[in-house]
Amino acid sequence: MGLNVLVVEDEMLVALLTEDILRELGHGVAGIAPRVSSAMSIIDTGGIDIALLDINLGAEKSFPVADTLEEKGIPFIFITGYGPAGLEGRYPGRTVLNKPFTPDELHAALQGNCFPSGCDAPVLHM
Amino acid sequence: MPKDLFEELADNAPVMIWRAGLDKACDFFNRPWLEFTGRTEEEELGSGWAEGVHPDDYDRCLQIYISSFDARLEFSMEYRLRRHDGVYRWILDNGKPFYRNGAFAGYFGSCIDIHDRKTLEETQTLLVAELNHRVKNMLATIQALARQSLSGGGSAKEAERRLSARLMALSKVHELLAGEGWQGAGFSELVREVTSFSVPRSERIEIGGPDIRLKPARAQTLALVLKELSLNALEFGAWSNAAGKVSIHWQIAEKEGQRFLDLEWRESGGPPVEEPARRGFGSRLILNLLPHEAAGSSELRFAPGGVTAWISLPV
Repeated sequence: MGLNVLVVEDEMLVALLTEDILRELGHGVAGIAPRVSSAMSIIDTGGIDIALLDINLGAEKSFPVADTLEEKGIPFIFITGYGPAGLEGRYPGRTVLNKPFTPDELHAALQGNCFPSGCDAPVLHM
Repeated sequence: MPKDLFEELADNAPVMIWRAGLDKACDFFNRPWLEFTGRTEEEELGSGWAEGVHPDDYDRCLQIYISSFDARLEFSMEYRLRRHDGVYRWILDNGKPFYRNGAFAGYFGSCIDIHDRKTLEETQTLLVAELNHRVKNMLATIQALARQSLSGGGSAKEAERRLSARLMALSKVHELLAGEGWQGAGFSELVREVTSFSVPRSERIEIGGPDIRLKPARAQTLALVLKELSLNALEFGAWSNAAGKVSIHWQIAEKEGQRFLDLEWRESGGPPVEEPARRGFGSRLILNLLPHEAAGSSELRFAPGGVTAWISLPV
């Protein structure tokens, strides 16, 4: 079962790469947002299963997006070039993927967040 | 030491000096301290001096002072102290207990203004974090370029050539930006440098437009776009035969109070162009990257006479 993934990333090339990897893994892309405002409007449209959040979006950080997703109970994964330090101690326990990441790492992170063990985990068909 | 000699020393030493008695209250400040804070000795005596400590540093500062004092320990602390002009400056304050006839008699302290060094340290920390971020993004960018170059079909040799060409474009931008202290890059030079690897002979390219400075992120985006167009021209377009030409022209236009760079890439004299069956990496980059990353717009036309691309983005 493919997921509908929101990609919040300001570097388009990295976003294109992420999109390619997601499609290879059998998922769909709900949208690519380079800024907080565009991410919010995609979230408002609904239908998102999970979001990948680049922490640093040029002049702004993606924390407001994380807060909104948290309120709505939608899972999300942080992606950062700063390592866990990029989170400034916030959002304990959230998955952080380091840039650059491999398709395997992304797959594992998506599995871990959308299909936690103990639940009826749908098997991904790739 | 005679009293006047002591005063001469205390008032002329290039440090700020204070003394506290057994009750932790300060009973002496030298002239440099009073000149720094712009207050009278009466105002500073006792715990008056603490009024000049920055509110955010106050609790920490007092806590270190009191706990060190109670334990008779030396301390060294940094805090912001209000200068006579109202500006808070970072101060390094070293305090040490002193003894008279073997009995604890209070503390002496000396302070120096470390504001410039402290500011430099903060800038450095920010720069290192920024550099780290950029390097990681650059690696992710290279990962993207490698993937696209390898999935483009053809032999390993061709894939290697495509990847090298793209990496060279990144490297050129980096070179231009580094030469300018990462403040920006001149666009004319960027266009010449990025296309120079692909253009067969200098008369087969025509470049014209006002020289403008681009921010680092814009420069990289445009370099990659121009590289994709160049690679395509060399492989299928105007530079793939013996006579075709590429003209690159741009101008600066005002739209709704915002400056835009309007650029046209026009190929002519190449083999007849066919609309590609599948949109390659270059097309995706041009059609998605600009509107997404740079809030610009772009159009790509595979006209029979030659590929034409229009790019418009705020600068």
